[in-house]
Amino acid sequence: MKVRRTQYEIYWEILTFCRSQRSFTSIIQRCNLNSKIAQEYLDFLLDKKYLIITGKESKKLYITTEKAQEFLSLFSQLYRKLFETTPEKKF
Amino acid sequence: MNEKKHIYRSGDHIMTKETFKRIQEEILSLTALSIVNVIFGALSIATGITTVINRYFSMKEAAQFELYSAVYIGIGGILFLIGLWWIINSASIMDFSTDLQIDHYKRRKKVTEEVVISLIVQMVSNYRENKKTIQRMIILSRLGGCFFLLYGIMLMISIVSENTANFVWSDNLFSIIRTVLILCLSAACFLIPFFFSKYASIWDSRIKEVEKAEIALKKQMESY
Repeated sequence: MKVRRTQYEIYWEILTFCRSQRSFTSIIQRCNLNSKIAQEYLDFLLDKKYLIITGKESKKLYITTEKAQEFLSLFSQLYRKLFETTPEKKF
Repeated sequence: MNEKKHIYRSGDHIMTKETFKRIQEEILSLTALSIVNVIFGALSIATGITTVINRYFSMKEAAQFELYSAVYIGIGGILFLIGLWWIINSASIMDFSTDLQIDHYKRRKKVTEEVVISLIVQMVSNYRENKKTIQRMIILSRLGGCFFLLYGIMLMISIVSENTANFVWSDNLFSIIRTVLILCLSAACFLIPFFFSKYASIWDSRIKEVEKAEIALKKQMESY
């Protein structure tokens, strides 16, 4: 299924998935990304220190840092609001 | 202090459960709406095919060209095409609503905030993906309604014109029932876009909220 996600939605998916150590392959599979795009997102998150790499060079594993929690909780708060503040809930 | 924390957590959990329930209601409404659309698409195809076949053979039997029958064949053909297009678009909506339903069902046992947000992200991205299809459905449904209405009016005219002298109910019962059904279909076709428009307007406002949220997230990310 094709899905259109914003960069922040992809960041949230990656960071949530990497709450426990994940390999590059599992990230691209779970987040439905191609390797080039996934690498760009991971580099950005590593640069922001929202992710860190653990493990050896041969088997890199990514894990979400404590620093990312603020982003994750703000994201959750904003997205949950979508279903809480809509004036007409049913159609 | 610990007690206070516990109250906050249980409050969050109730909110998460409520949001999850609201998502479930929305998914069910969308699935029901897409099923109704598939049914109306199928009815439109069936009406189109029967009209074309009936009028074609009646013209063939009469062995002459009848303008009235030709108009019927035209309307039947259009109803068939609208129905076909309608089903294709409805199937696409149904595809994403059933995907959501499956995901929702799988996650119902352990409802966490992460599960709820993940479903919301999925719904937001699916709406972005299917926005054009939903707009097409609104147009198609109205178009179908117009042609069903035209067909119903033509049937009414033919009943009246064939029975100008003395009207016998029992002789025309089948035609009357058919006309009433066609007019009901037309009314339903005008009603469906109302629900789709409501759905689209709710989601458009949510997409606007997402755009606002993006600004807040960008600010948050840049603050480091």
